[in-house]
Amino acid sequence: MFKLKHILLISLLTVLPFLASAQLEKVAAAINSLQNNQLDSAKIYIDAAVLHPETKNISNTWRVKAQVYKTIYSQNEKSNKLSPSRAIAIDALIMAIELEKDSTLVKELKRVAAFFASTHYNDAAKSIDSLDFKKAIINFENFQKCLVVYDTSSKSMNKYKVEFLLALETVYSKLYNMDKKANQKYFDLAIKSLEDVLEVDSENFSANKNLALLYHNKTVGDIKELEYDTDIVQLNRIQDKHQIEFLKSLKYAIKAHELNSGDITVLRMLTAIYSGLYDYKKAIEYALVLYEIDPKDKANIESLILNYENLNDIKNVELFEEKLKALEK
Amino acid sequence: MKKIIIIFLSLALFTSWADDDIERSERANARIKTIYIYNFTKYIEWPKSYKDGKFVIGVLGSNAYLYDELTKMAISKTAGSQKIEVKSLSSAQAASQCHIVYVLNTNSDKLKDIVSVAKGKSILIVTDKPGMAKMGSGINFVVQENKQKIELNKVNIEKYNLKIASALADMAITVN
Repeated sequence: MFKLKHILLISLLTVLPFLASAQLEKVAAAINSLQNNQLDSAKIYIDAAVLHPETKNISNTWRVKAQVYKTIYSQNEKSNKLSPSRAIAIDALIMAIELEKDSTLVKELKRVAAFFASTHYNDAAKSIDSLDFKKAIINFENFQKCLVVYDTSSKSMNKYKVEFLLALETVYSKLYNMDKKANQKYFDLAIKSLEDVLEVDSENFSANKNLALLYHNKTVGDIKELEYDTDIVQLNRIQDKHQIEFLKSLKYAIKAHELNSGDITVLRMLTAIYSGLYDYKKAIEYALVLYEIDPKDKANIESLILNYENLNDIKNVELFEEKLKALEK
Repeated sequence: MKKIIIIFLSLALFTSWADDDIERSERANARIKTIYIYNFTKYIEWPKSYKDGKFVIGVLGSNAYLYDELTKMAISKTAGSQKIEVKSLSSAQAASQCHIVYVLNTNSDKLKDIVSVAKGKSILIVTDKPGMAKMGSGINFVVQENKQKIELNKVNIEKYNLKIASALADMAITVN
């Protein structure tokens, strides 16, 4: 278990035999100031020590610096999600680990790195909203920097990365939906976040589902925004573009359906995408699966009626109109 | 004794599913058809006697999304200097006062009646089912390569004393 007194004691023991050196005296003075909670003077001593050639290549110097700045962070800057002292402490800690030869001490220092990782991750989590998301990104980047110090397995990194990117995508999508015309860049960022998730984990259900949803809703939204006097020749070109977007959406929706065939949203989306592609038979195929799951879903029955109408299947149109009427009674 | 407590908040909690609302593509499809129909008012010319009063678009059959889109278009646009009125037709006979009659897919069996009502008048008959352009309609909506296209039967338009702009004829699939 990492203990402040323990680290300081080790640091002091390392320094004591060499106190004839003025620079080492500065390190000892920093430790002394820290023990007396005189953080300003501790800072002055240790900042000078890390710059001097005599002490700058000694792990102990950086270890003390990390401890001084960690204490400043804990006492004065804990609520500051962009705490400068924490950043300095982490850089010093990384230097200390690089220079340290004692494996027991390295282990203890890595435990401190884990602590900093957790503070950054938690600050990232607390900043995941439409106002503070930039702070969330900075904190997550710093979290990654700390994580690689104590846990080099890519599995851990990927787990956190996926979790963070999915949360970030939610923020970008929210910002985009607030003002679709002005916030187009957030649509692109939401897509990028999800694509990054798939790079790490191509089988991620949420990323596939949300990519399908984003592309589908954007395409339908764009069509609904078309001016009525859009020229007929231009309309053909626009339809070509929309078809490409619907097909992108379809690719991800099919993958999401493969990963979770019972997901209602994905089934609804498949119905809507095929309908958008004018493939009414396929739209009906998925709408019927939805009907089996929930025969009282009015929106789905309406969708079935419209798709059967498009196929001129009067018998089924009448059948589902009856069912809709019965539900509305 | 001061312990380091390491707790990781779960970010999964921050991933909301509020965006699960799926936009209805039926409305998008209705928008595309409405844009086509509005273009017909620009690329097809009605005789002078049809340029007074309202420009009437009759819809035979029910499709709430389409009717809604046509109504919205009628509020914001004009056909030349004429205000546009969208009417839901209860029968083929009600089509006699229209400039455009749109016979929805499910009412395709009434095309013959519409053709007989349109005799001697200047009505553009628009349909929505494969084969209809050969059975009396002037313009028929078809789906080709996952896109909304139109078939155009020049004879079935010009026999009602309507003139087609070449731009419209050029981009349509010609049916004789």
